[in-house]
Amino acid sequence: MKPLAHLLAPNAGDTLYAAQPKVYPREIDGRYARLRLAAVFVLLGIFYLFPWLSWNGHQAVLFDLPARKFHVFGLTFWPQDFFWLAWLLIVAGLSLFFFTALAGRLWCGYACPQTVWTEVFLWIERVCEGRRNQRIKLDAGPWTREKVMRKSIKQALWVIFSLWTGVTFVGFFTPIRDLARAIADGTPGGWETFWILFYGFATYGNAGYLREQVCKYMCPYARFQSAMFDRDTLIISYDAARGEPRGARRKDADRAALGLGDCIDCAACVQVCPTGIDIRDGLQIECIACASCIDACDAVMDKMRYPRGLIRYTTENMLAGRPRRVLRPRTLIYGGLLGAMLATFAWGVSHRAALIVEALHDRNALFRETAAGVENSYTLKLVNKTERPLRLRIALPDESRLTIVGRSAVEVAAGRVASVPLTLRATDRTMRGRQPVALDVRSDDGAVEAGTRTEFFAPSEHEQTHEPERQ
Amino acid sequence: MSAAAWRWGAVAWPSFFAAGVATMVFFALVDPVELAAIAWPHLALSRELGYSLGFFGFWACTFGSSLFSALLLGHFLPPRRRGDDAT
Repeated sequence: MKPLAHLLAPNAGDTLYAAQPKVYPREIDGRYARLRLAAVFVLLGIFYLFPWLSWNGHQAVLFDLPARKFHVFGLTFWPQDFFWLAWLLIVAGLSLFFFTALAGRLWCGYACPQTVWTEVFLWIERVCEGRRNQRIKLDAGPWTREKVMRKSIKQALWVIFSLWTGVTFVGFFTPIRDLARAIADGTPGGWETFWILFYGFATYGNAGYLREQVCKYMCPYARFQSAMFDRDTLIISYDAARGEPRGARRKDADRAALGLGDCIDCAACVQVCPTGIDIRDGLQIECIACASCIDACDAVMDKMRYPRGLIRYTTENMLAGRPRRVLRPRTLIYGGLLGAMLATFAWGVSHRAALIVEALHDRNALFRETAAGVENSYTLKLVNKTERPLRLRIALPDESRLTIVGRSAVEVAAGRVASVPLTLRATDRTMRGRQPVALDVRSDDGAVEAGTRTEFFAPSEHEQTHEPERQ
Repeated sequence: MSAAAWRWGAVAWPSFFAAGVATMVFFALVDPVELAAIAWPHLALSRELGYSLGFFGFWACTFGSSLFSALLLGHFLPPRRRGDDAT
């Protein structure tokens, strides 16, 4: 038997990776290309514009890491709400499952940042270096003055766009208006500069150079998406029964007489493919379902006056002549789970506690004996998650043997955390050992209320009461 | 992209991803300023520095782990030693 390492690490010749020629995707127009363009505008519009929007006097979308608070329009998320962020990530994962089962790799073709940014970088490349054939010729040719100029302009535009992307990205985490002002003054912070360059470089590298290689070699989703596919999932497929045998012919030739199928073997579908595959070879892991080949083939079919859809969105069952089932156990389970989790998220986020109270017992001394009685010290942490200042009153609802020493009212500004010292004293001198205590905190107007539990320590039975235990 | 770049990428990229997730979960639960106050009370560390140090600390760990796996699987052996021991 071959050792495991041998099976997992074969020779360089047959590893998963093989150096491949550069892919020059041909420009394409059509239904799906326009749909993707719309997605690019919407998604990049959201990315580049959202940090600049204001909401009630603060940045509308700001993941304020320095202040440990996330603002998403009217909602504010605190570290205590991390549970809901994790929940949202699970919802996002589940929707990926749902849409993949339903319509294949919709995400890859229209919504993935890799696709969306690559589209912009390709557009810049096209503006500077021309159409597919011109780009191939330019790359193959000698370094003339024109080539240097075209390449330099492209690189400059790529770098500017990447840096702008980096600034926008950092602008989601630190107020973007202050950041823009600091950059204009030439005084951005060290870490901000670092992350702008880091994210800018990642954009440049992924969308400018790696492109389809990210999908083919780096993306985990591409590797496991087939697990969500079944015979009723929408895939992009070449209708071999209709297309074969393929072959070139004159436009007005009688294909039945020539014994040919509908495919004229023009290779348009191969030239437009951003991952450089031939869809006529069947469904392949490299296919990101961008539907460029559908657009290209439909245009050719129109020219030939053949019906459209030689390459089309279809399912394995439909190709085999069976009806398509949208409602099936897989989609119903994914859809049901997704709906339930979204509803829970909406309920949970709208019912979050407006006030958090935590009581930390003094770490140094369990108790202190005074002339007035045994005392315990605490630090009370009050988190005001509302957008207004709160005047809070601390009370001991069901404890008549304890009393609060000093003031029991405290002011906490909007969206602030206050640490307040609190001392409790036993009015009952016979109290012994460890006693549970319930603390109740409510605002003066009674609108906001929260409680917590802690413990009160008194000397135990066998101890001399004038020698407090210290540990 | 050369085969060597691909091998390093296969180490760097998943470890980067894992470090990102670990950083997010860890700092959602722990405030770097409070952590610094416990660990290095004599140093004044800002939150931004804390987050960044945390991320690169995690990445160093996950990168080391991925690299170790790659070494155990023989991805960095010279070509004549790699595989081909069927004889």
